[in-house]
Amino acid sequence: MIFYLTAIANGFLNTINKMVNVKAGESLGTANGALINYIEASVIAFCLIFATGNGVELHFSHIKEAPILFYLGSVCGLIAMIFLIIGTSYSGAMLSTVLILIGQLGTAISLDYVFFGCLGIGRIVGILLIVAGIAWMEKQKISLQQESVRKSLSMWEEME
Amino acid sequence: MYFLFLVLAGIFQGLMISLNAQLGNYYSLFGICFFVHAIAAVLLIGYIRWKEKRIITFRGAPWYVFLVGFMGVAIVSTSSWCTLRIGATAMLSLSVIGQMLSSALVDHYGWFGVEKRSFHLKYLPCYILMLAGVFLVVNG
Repeated sequence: MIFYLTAIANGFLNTINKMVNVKAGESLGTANGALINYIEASVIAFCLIFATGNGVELHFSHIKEAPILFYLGSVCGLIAMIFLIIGTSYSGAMLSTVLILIGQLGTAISLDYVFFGCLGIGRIVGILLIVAGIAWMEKQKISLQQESVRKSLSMWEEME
Repeated sequence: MYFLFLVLAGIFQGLMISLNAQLGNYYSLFGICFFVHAIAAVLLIGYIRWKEKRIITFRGAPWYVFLVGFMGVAIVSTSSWCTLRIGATAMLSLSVIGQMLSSALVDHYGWFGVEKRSFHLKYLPCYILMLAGVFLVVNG
């Protein structure tokens, strides 16, 4: 249960982090705004490694033990950021949200099969329901926005 | 073509979460955070200095921007911790629910200076559909 609650809390933090990153991007520029996050987090994590008595992890002999592939997570993150910037500037919010989710969850289910060996029809149906729910909600948001624009336009016309 | 970029962005984000979690077999949670952020920082410094040819400066940012580092550590460590225990699919699905709920709160109260958009009952069936999906993913 604690893992499920933590995963939901992770989503909450992600949204707040995104909003703060937008503010950082506005005042420092996109790249400098992202860099402040990486530098600060590196320093904090570095201090916490020693504070928790795990300093031995930073010895070269220990670093060599993990396959190089596993260190490439952050490279994937940066590539994702570039694709995201290009993709979202040419498509609407609904389409971009749904397509990113399809990519994310599709990859997650494939990698869960590779690393944990678990794949079931229930999981695939579940992912389809999540994507459908988000697509539906984005559609509702757009139609509500259009409705409010129509209302304000008609009010403006009546006033004239 | 741009649709493909968005799917690819999602694929690389999924890869990132899974690879970070695999580092957890060799490092503590803060060890994972350190490598994930330090490698990205080095690459980004290289990009800013040699590609954008800009000066690296953090002057002029609001005070709360300096909290992003703490959030970055919390996000990477919790996602790696959960992914190792419940798998990437369940972790991502639950995180999506958290993101949708928090986005609704931010919109409803207009936090961070965003335009206020009240929560509408029309959204409720969408949340129920998503929750049903998450239930299937977690128990599937």
